[in-house]
Amino acid sequence: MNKPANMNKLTAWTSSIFAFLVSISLFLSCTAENRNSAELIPVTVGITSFIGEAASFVAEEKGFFKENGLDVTLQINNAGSESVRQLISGTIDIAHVAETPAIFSTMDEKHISADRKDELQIVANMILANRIQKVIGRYDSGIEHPQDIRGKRVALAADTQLEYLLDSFLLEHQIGMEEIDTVHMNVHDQVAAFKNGEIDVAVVWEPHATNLLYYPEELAVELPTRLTYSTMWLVVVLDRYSEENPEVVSAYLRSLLKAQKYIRENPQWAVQLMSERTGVHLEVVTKAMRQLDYELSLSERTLSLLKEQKNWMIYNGYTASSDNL
Amino acid sequence: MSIKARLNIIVFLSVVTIAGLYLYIVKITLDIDQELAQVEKIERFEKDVFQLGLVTEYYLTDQDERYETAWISLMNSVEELSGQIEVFKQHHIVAESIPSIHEAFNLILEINNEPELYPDAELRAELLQRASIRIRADVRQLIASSGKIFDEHLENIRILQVDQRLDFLYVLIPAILALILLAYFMQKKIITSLYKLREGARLFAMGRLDQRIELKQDDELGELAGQFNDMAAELDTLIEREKLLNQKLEKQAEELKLSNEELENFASVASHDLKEPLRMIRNFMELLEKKYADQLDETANRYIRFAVDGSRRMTSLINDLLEFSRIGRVYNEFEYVDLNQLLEEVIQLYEPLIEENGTRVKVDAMPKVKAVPISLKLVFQNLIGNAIKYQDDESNPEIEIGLKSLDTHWQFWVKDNGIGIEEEYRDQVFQIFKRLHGPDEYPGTGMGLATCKKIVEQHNGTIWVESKKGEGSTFYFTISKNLNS
Repeated sequence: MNKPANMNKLTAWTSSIFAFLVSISLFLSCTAENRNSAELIPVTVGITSFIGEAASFVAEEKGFFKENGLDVTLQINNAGSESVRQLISGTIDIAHVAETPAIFSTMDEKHISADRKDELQIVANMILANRIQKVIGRYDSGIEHPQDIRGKRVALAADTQLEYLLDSFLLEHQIGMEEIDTVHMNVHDQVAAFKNGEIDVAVVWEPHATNLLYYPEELAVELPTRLTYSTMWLVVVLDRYSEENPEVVSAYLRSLLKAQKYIRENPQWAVQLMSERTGVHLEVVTKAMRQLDYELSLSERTLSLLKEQKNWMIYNGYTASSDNL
Repeated sequence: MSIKARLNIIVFLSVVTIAGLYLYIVKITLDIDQELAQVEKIERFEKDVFQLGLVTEYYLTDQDERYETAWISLMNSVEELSGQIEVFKQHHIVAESIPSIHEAFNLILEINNEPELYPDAELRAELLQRASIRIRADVRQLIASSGKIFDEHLENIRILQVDQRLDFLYVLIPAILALILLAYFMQKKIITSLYKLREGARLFAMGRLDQRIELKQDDELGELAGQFNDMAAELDTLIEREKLLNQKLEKQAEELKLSNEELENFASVASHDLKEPLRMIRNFMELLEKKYADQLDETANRYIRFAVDGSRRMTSLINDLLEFSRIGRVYNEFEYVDLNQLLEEVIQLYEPLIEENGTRVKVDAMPKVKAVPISLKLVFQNLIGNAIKYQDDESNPEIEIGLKSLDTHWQFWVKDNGIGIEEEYRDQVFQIFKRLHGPDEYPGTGMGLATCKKIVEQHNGTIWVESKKGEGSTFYFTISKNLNS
């Protein structure tokens, strides 16, 4: 059966346009791939399995780093302080760290960065959270109220923000440090130690706090404080690195920004990913992630909170100088 | 699909598009109003938080009860507004910062109002400092967050006002284009079909009876084309049948014409050929009567008179027949005739009889008409002759000759006050050889009115009579005003 001439013309036009579009798409995709494989800048980032890291995992999983020309390797450490040490030693290029290790490394040569030769630079805060650090006591240790921790075994991860949290907690409730039995222990170990009764009080961040509070629920009690603790999760680089690679820092922040937007738009997917990456139960991660906002910022609030930590360090005699910050 | 269905679809799509656009506009307007209401609340919230921060500082500097009251009032407003701002529910930091400020300020109040709970002055000062920094940080966070959210809402409004209006255009323009295209293609299809129908009808009207319209469409126009084709086929059959009928009629007319001509020729020839022997018979009969009248008895003489009279009447009959046969055959040249003169000649012809009977003749003024002069003269001659002839002996004969101009014809009449005609014979009087009286009563051949009828028909007219027994007769006849040879 012969098609009308107009129909043949239409078919020819449609085929031409389709072929043209396919060619353009292939050209663009090849160009993009070549650029990605040829020009990706290697960057090593020290992170933890803390829920504040969601943007890092999402950016890696969704290829946002590569989109911005970066070949990022995520180096997972137990704590931000460890990442800062690696940053100072040159093992990694960027560190994700809470405010306390950052202040320690800046102000106090004794704690983290005794041999540092370069200043640290905070380029952004990745999260906004006020209540993800908690002091949790065991019921069966006789702990129901803050005052009950006197004489109890209180676990503490040194050189972390938890040190400041516990200090404020004790100050608010008029309890001296000498009145408790401090057990130095990182947060991962605290969970197991708390559950098997090795310690009476855990001072932890999320998602470990939720893990202790809800599994099993009847075992633990969150001890209240009126001095809310704001957690920050900072992107830190060395001054030199920032000066030499401003475009890398910028591309890195753009990747995080895009990942955070993706988290807001796909929260369930992000929770699933975080559960897989951290090995924490999905329900725990869900509850933990609900307590914070993934929002890249560098605000007056951040400066206020850093200043607060600096004052704390001076108050506790961790540093003699107040000029370094 | 039928044209009606297609039109219904276009109307339906238009209505849906307009309704959709209307709803879209209403939705945008409502969204903008909602966003504006939220923006207003966010602005008030930000202002109140800022003042809360200031009042906190005032209170920390000077623990005045007024500041405490103002602080509580502002905090109530902040809490109330935060509950009304929908988007705050998605920002944990906002939801958490407000109770954080509240708790920190409560701690400050407790330290100031119940210093005995915090006996160590140095620790108290440190705690106050941490609480105040806590409030400052949270206030700054709230201002930053609400400012950011404020900007987002402004951006939302901008998007609603600009981008979504562009979306509106993106929807409106394709929708209108789609409707225009739909209407265009439909109109094109209809117009093309109509052109085909018109062209088919035109060719058919021009005589192309085999013309058919090829329109294979499942709609009203396709149906119309089918009906046209059926009608054309039917008409074609009828015309073909009529053509055959006409051919048959023409053939019959031709045959009839030939037959008439043969008959007329025969009548002419017969009349002509009969005249000579008849004249011979009459002459010899008259000679017989003249020479041998004395030798023959009365009966023989009476028979001879009968024979002479018969031959005389036979001659008249033959002459009349001859005249009759000449109408249309010999007398066929149309020309303008002055009827006044023609009638004068006819009346002169009957002058002796008119004077003898004392007949009064009245003639209207007559026009010039186009006619065969000798034929028309014969008509008047016969009608006037009859009017003079068919009279009572006692009456005073009166004849009136009149005229009336009709649209397409001239109408004449010849009226008398003679014996009249019975109603049953009125139509018969125009038949050839028809006579209502015996030759002894009123002489004649019975050809006169038949001749008149033939002549009038030659002039595309009609002839009729109005009469009443004993009250005279009026013979009317018409001739066409447009006659050609």
